[in-house]
Amino acid sequence: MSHPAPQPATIPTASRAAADTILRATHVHRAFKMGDTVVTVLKGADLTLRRGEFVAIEGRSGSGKSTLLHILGALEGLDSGSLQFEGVEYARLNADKRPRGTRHWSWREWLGVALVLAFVAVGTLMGLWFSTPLALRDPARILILGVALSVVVIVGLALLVARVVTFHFDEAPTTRLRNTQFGFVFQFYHLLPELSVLENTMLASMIDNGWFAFVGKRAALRTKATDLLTSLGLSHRLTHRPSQLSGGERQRVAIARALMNDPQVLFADEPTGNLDYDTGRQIMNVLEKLHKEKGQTIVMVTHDRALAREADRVLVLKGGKLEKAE
Amino acid sequence: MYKLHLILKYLRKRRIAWVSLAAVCLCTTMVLVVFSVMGGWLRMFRTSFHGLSGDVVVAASTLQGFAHYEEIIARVEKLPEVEAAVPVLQTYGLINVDNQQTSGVQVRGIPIERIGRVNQFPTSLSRQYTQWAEWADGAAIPVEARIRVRELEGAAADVREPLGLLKFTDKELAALAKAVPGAPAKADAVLKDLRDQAARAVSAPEQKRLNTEMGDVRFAAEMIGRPDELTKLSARGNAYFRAAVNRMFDGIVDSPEKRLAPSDAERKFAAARRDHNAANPSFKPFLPPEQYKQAFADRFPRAKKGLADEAVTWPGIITGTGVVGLRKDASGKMAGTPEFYYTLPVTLTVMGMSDAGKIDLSGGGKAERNYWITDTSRTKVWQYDSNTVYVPFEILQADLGMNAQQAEREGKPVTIPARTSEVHVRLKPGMGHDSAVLMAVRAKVDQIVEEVINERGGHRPTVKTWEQSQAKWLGAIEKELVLVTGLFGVISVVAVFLIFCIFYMIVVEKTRDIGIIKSVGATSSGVAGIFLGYGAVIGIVGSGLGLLLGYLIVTNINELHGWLGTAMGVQIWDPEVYAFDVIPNTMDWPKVGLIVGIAVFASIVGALVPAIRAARLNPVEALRWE
Repeated sequence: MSHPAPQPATIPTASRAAADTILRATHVHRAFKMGDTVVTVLKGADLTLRRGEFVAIEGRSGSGKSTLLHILGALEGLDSGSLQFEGVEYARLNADKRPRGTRHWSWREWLGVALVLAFVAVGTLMGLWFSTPLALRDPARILILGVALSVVVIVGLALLVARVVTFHFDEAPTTRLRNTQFGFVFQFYHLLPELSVLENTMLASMIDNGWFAFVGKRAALRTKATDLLTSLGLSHRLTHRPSQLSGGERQRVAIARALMNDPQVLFADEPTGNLDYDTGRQIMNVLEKLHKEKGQTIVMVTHDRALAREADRVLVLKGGKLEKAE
Repeated sequence: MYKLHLILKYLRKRRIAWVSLAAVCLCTTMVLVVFSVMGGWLRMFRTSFHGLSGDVVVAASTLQGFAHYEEIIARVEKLPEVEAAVPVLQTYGLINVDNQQTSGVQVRGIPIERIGRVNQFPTSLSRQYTQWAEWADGAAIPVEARIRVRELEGAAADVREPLGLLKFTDKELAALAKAVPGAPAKADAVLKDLRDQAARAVSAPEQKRLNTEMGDVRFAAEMIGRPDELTKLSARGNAYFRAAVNRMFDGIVDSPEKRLAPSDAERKFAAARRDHNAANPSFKPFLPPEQYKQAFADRFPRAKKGLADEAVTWPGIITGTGVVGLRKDASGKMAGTPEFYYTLPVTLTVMGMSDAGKIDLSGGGKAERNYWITDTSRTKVWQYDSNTVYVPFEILQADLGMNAQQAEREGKPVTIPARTSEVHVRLKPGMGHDSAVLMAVRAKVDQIVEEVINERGGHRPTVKTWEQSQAKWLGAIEKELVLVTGLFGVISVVAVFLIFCIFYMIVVEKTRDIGIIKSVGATSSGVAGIFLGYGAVIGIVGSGLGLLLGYLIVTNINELHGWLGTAMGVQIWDPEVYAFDVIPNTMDWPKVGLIVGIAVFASIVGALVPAIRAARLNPVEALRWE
């Protein structure tokens, strides 16, 4: 009987550090075109984030803090550099910097395309057949005309759909990451005005679960969202719309939404920037509590030094690079 | 899941999308109505023309007709595909009704006992068929019809024909008796009201009217007390009586319509009569001889005495419903059933036609003949109903001098063969709709005609299928259908652009929301799916509502048209132009399905470009959108 060799009981320090690293960004470059001038915002920023760490990124307005956060959170592409989440590369280069890749379609996609083609062709032929006077109903002529028309319609549709489909394939891995591993809290809350507080909170889980999965788990997810909101002191606001809430309440709803899918990393972009001091304090307390009690990994961008000092580690974005704060 | 959730939210909260919903709804309705009416029109044309003629028609190109038709018929009927072949005479004449109005008409001589084998003519007869069919379907039997039965009850069984059924039922008598206790009290109330009105009435005509009404109400109140007296009422009194009774019954028993509804036994009887009459249509005058004698004496008081007896022997004529100026209501039914119509003497003048095509009144044919109207025919094709009369084949043939005759030519006695204008050939059931079979039979019939004419001589008639003989009409309507549907289809494309504009607006307005949805992990295709689904829902709901609206309009189009006519004096559907006196009101469901499908598809196409724009939005830029 031969077994695989047992793993060593102790992991070497270096690899333990690697195991603890949840997110690693290396040499991140990002430039924006503003008319004719090119503004380079990030010039090789590096960041290593350990699990359970609370990192604050500080910097002047326009220094690229938000851009860095968006790139880390896979909301935005980068020009060059590498991003790794739990050791897996997820950097999505901007379209003009990207090598053209190939991808194989799954049978479902082929089936979808075939159905669309069949639908268009059959529809065109039926339409032609019924709209042609009896006397002129020559099957051969209708077939030729129908096929020609179908081809035109199909090519037109394909050109349009292809744009979405290719885009979809490119971004598919990063959207998954955004949905299940990352949570975002924005300065301006960004809640959907048509949805209630509870629905806004459940949005990520609705996206995560398909139709049947969601219906199956609906009650559980509802309870989870309600618990989250209750823990943030919003139990009396479940059915209200965002427009009926105060700024602090909206930001807490945004936090609840970000936490709904139990993300590994929570990104907060100036979470208190739009709030008064006391309310801002409350939001900070929520984040600190999350960090201390649940060990939530948090990356927070702020220009407020006082807030930044509450983090485990404070970095400053200066000249397009991250530096340790003095 | 989130897609459906957001679609439903947006549908409820973004009312602007309802504009596109309304556009889809109206466009669907428009195309459906146009398509149904025009398509129905074409279908009506086909069935009506097909119903009026045989599947294959042998027709002379001139009024003098063609000879040896009996031989042609005998040989054609031996063809395996052929069900029957029947000769029909076709000419023109002058009709004089009641010695008052004269007009020109098409005259068709038909062997009525056989005509049902080649076309649907017997089912167009109002008295013999349509009224029975309606009663069998549960339509109310008018008071007059029931009362007329009583008047005629003493007449001979064969004369009683259409009326034998119409006795008061026990149920109705019970209803009348039941009404008695309440009726006089109600009559008193009505009378008092009328008396008060009369006291206040200023003008003489108004007083006179009120007095008449009072008399009617009193009269009706008495009658209700004695239902057996009903039968003694004159036809003229019936109309007053009915009006008065309706007022009396109002609120006491069921509505007059319900009261007059046929019982199950009556319906069964009516169905039996309908089927019997369809198989045995007749020209025979049906009123008792005394009534004809009386009618004649009333119309011609100074005629010689013997002429009244002769009037009893006049043959019957069937007129198209529009011929003698009968009025029709919006639904195409004759307004009222003028009792006296069947006692109007009719004089028909036709021109005899010699074998050589000369007008010939000397050949023993009587050019002028008196008839009694025995029925009216409503084929629903206006060009027939407005100016065609039908008379017995043999009589018309004799009057035209087209029957077989002995004559002397160049000193030798010769037999001039009988002639007809047309021979209608009906194929075995199911074959008449197959163009290939029709054409094959046409060729065979043509061959027979060729042989007979070669053997026996005479003018050669042409042989056509029913589609060929109506090709000019059918072709024109088919092209019109395509043209109109096409035009309205193009107009409907506007809805696609409207959807595009509105959705584009929504996408711009919702840009930040799209950014939010993407930031929490929605894919681009998911975002596109939201807007495509939104478009699909708009399309489905819009076209569904459009279908409902279209269905309501199409099925009630004749009532709507009638209402337009009375309310605004607009008549869009002129029966003289459109050939039918009713507007087609049926829907062709496979095509309805196609139209609805196209509407949904078009809505999705309209939403496609905005959806793609939404899908391609960069989340960060979308979030920054102001």
